[in-house]
Amino acid sequence: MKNTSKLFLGCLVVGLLVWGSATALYAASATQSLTINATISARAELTLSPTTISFADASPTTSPSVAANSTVAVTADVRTGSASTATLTALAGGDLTSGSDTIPVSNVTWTASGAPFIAGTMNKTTAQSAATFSAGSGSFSGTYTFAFANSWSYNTGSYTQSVTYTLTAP
Amino acid sequence: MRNRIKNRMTGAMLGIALLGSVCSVSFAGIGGSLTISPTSISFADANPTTNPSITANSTVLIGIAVAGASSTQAWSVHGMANGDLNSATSSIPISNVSWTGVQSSGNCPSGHTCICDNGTMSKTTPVNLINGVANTQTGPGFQCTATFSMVNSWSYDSASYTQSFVITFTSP
Repeated sequence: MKNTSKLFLGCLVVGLLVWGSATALYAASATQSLTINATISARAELTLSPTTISFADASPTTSPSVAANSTVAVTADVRTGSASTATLTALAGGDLTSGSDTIPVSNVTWTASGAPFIAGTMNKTTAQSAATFSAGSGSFSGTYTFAFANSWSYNTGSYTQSVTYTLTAP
Repeated sequence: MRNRIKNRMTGAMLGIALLGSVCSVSFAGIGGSLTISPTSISFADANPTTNPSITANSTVLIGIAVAGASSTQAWSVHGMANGDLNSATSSIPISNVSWTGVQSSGNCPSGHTCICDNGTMSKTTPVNLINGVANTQTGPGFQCTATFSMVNSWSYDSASYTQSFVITFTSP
């Protein structure tokens, strides 16, 4: 009986050792976890097309407002925080200038189609809002249509000015 | 004396039976040893316009060594995400992450094919990474290299996102 117990214990120990080493290598169900990380940073991308427009000469009497030769397609791509709001502004570099003659740039206005783009009037001192974004990210497309207030008071000349559009994603 | 011999024989038989019984528990039925390396990958920030798809910073080596399977027994290594990619305030659908799998080493027995699968992550349904039939080659088993990529979009909010993708070996 004593020998039987020894044999039993010996077998059990060997068996457990074999079982232990086997299960360490091969399990009926094996699981591993892969951690996935992604970094998304704030960024903004603005596209205007075309980048030049013109107002043709016209009689102020019959054409008190002159439409530009082309509408301007605008695309604003924005990545920002879920609680942050992007901004798009337009700031004229000055009045329309032809040599020493000038036409106040405030005579240029625009309307907008496509959310979140909005209408406005050009200003050379204060950047004007050109869109009203909601908080968060997105890709937006629209169109600006420009008009020029015509007047008999303008001296003849070829006038030009640039307007800077700034898209900011905080 | 006869009783003593009888006791010893009974003990030996009992011991062998127990040992055999214990051993058969560990080797009866299919078992798999699953390894992955590395255990973490990252997608760096990139411009969605110029980089509509982002490749992870590292490929992942997935190894499976299968033993105890019958010659017709099918098995698979599948993965399922615990949810979408989450930040504190935003999420990116996990279905934007996919992978391509290519065999990198190892084999299955002649007549059986182990396959590295392509797939798209899901938070609701397990998706196969590897599938095969019968035991793999011993040692390192069968290994696939998975290349993960993420669909990039301007719609993602800026933040740091994370999620776990649980990879499991099973046999029906």
